[in-house]
Amino acid sequence: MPNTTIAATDFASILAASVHDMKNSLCTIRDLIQQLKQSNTTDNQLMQLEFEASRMNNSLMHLLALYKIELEKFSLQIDEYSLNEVLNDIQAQQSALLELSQISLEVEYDSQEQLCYCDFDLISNAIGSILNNAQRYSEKHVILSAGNQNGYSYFCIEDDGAGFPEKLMASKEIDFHGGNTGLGLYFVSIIAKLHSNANKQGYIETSNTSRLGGAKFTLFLP
Amino acid sequence: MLDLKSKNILLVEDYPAMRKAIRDTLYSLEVESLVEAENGFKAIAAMQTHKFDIVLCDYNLGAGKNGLQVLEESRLRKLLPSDAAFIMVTGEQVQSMVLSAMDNKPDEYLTKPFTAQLLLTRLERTFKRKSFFKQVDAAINDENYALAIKYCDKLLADNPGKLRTAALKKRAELAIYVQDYSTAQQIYQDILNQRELNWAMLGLAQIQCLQGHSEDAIRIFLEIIDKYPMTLEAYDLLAQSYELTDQHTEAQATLHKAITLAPQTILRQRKLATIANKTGDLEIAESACKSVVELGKYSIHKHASDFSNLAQVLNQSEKTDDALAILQSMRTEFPNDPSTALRAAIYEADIFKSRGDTEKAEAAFTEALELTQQHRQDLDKEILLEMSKACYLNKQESIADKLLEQLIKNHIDDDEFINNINAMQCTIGYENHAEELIHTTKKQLIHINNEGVKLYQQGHFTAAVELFATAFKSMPNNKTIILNMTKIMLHAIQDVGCTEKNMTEAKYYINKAQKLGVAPYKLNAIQMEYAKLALSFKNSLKKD
Repeated sequence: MPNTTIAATDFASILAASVHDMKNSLCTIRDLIQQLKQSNTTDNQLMQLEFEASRMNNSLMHLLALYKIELEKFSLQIDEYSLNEVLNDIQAQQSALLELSQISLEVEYDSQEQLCYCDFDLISNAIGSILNNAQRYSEKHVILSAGNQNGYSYFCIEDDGAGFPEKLMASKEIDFHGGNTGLGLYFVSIIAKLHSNANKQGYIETSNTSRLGGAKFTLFLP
Repeated sequence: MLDLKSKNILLVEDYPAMRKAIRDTLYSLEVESLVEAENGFKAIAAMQTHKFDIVLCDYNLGAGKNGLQVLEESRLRKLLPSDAAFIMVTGEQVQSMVLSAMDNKPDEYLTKPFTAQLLLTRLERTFKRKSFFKQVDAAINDENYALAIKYCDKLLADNPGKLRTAALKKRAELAIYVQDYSTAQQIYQDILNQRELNWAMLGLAQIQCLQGHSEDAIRIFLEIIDKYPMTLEAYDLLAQSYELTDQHTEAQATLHKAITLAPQTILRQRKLATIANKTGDLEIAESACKSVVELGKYSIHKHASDFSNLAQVLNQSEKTDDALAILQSMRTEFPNDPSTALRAAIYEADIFKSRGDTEKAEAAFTEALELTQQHRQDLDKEILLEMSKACYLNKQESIADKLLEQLIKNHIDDDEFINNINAMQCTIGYENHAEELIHTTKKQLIHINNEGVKLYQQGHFTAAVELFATAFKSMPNNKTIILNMTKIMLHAIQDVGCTEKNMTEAKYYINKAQKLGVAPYKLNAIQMEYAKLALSFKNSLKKD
C-alpha cells in the first residue's frame, strides 16, 4: 500500500486551502442573496439561505480553530476592549440575517462603558454563532446584553423560542451522532475555558430562564 | 456614522467573484471612489499614483506578492498617508498573529465573508482610533519621537477613557524608541499589575534585553512562549537574547521553532540562515537560505546577498553546480548593478577555486578587481568588505589594506560593521591586523571631536566648523563627524547671523546626515533648530 499518511502540518495547509476556497464560494452565495433581495424571492427562503451560509461559515471557523488548538498551534491574543465594542461587532456580523428575518434584536448596551479582556475576534465570532442560532429558533425577539459582575465580564443571549432541548443542557458533552450536534456551544465552551486570569477560568451557562421565556445563554470571561 | 463617500478606497483581491462581492458591499455603503487591483503589483502601482484613505487587501493573492508583502512595501516606502487604514482580509481567523511580520501590522483583520455592517463597524473603530492618535502617528511617521511623546502625554493627561491602555502601550513603545527604558518599564509593570497581558510581558522582556540583562529577558520570553505559543515576536527576541549571550545553538532552535509555526516571514528565515551558518549546521542553513531566496521573489526585502549566501552554503556542501547556477540567477535578478556584478565575481572565484579550476578562479578574481576599480564610489560597504577579504586570500594585501582603511575611516562609529571587519579578519587568520588602524582612527575621531568642542566652547565657532569640515573630507561617511558638524554649524550661524551661503551649507550637511542614516531622534532637534533659523532668515529678508 502506498504511504498515504499526511503530515500534520501539511494537513493544516490543506485544511486552510480548502477553507479559503469554500469561503470564496460562500461570499458569492452571500452576494447572490443580496441581489435576490431585490427580486421576488420570499424573505423566508432568503433568510434560510443566509442562515445556512452563515452557519457553514461558523462551522468552518470552529473546525479550524479547534484543529489548531489540538495541534497546539494556537494561543489567544487577549487585550482590553469595551463591552459595547464587542456588542457592536456581534450585531454587525449578524446584520444580514437580521435584515431578512422577522426577528427583532434588542441590544442592551452597557451605559457605563465598562471594559473587558478577551480575544476580540474569537469571542465576537463565537457569540455571533450562538446569536445566529438564537435567531433561527426564536419566535420574535432576542436580547443581547453584557456587563461586569463578580470579577467576570458576561455576554448574554436570551430568546423567546422553545428553549434548549434537555440534552444540550444536561450533558456537557458534544453529541456527534444526533441531528443537532451543539458544536457551536461546544466551541464557545472551549474558547471560554482558554480565557483565564489569575485563578479564574471562563465558562458558559445554558438555561431556559430567559426573560423572554425561551433559551438563555451566558458566556462568562474572567 | 462614518461617511465613506469622501473616502478613496483601494480593493486588492485576485478572485473576480470575490472582488465583485466586496465591490457590491462597498457600493451598498455608498462608496464613490473605488480602485480595484487584482494583484499585489497593481496594488503598489495604484498606491503610487493615488492617495488612498482605505486599503482593503486580501492576504491570499494567488501568484506574486501576498497581502503581507503589499502591506510591508506600502509601509516601508510610505505609499500611504499615516492616517490611512489598511485592512487585511483573511480566510481564517486565528492566522492574524501568524501573518503579522515584526513591525508591520495592519490596522484591522477582517475574516471573510463579512457583512457590510461589519465592515462599517470595523472601519469606524479604526478611524476613531486613528483620529485619536492622529498627531502622535504623524510625528512617528516623521520619526520625530520627541514630538510624538509630547502628543502622547497630552492624550494621556486628557482622560482618554477606553483608549487609555492603547495610549499607554504607544507611550511605552515610544519610550523604548528614545531609549528611555525606565518609563517604558514602569508602564508595562503598571499594566501587568492590573492584568497579565501578552504584549506588556513582551515589552518588559524586551527592555531587559535592551539593557543587557539577557538572562532575565530569556526567562520572561520563555514564560511568554510557554503561555502563548503563537507569540512569534517572543521567539525572535528570545533568539536575539541567546545570540547576545553566545548561545547560538539555542538561538537556532528557537528561530527554527518559530519558522515551523510561521514559515512565511523572510526576515526571520534570513536570521535563521545567519545563525545556522555560525553554528555550522549546513542543512538548516541551506533550507533557510533557499526559503529566503524564494520568499524574496516578491518582497521589498529581496537582496542580492541572499543569493550569494545560498551559493556559499551550497559551495560548502560541495554542490558547486547549484552554487554557480544561483549566482547566475542573481545576475539576472539584479541587472546593471555593479555591487551585484562584483558579488557574483567574488563568489564565482571562490567556487572555481574549491573545484580546483585555478584558471577560471583567477579570471573571476581579475574581473572582481576591475569592477572594484571602476565602481569604487557606487559599491556598498558589505560587498567592499567581502572584496577586501577576497584580496587578502588572493595575496593582494596592499589593495586589501587600502579598501579596509577607507571602510574603517568611513564607518568607525558603526560598531556592528567594525565588528564585522574584525570577524572577517579572524576568519582569514589576520587577527589584530586592522586593530591598529581601527584604534588610530578612533583616537583621531575622538581627538577631532575634543578639539572641535574645545574651539566651540572658547567661542571660536568658525574655527570649529573648519576643523570638522576638514575631518569630513577625510571621512565623508562618518556619522559622528557629520552630526557634530551640523550641531556646531548651527551654533556658528546663530553667532554670525544667517546668510544664503551658510544656510545652504547647513542644509547640505543635514541632508547628508539623513542620507547616511543618522538616527532620526538625534537629528530631530537639529532639524527643528534649522527650521527656526530658516524662518527668521526668511522674515528678515522680507523686512529688507
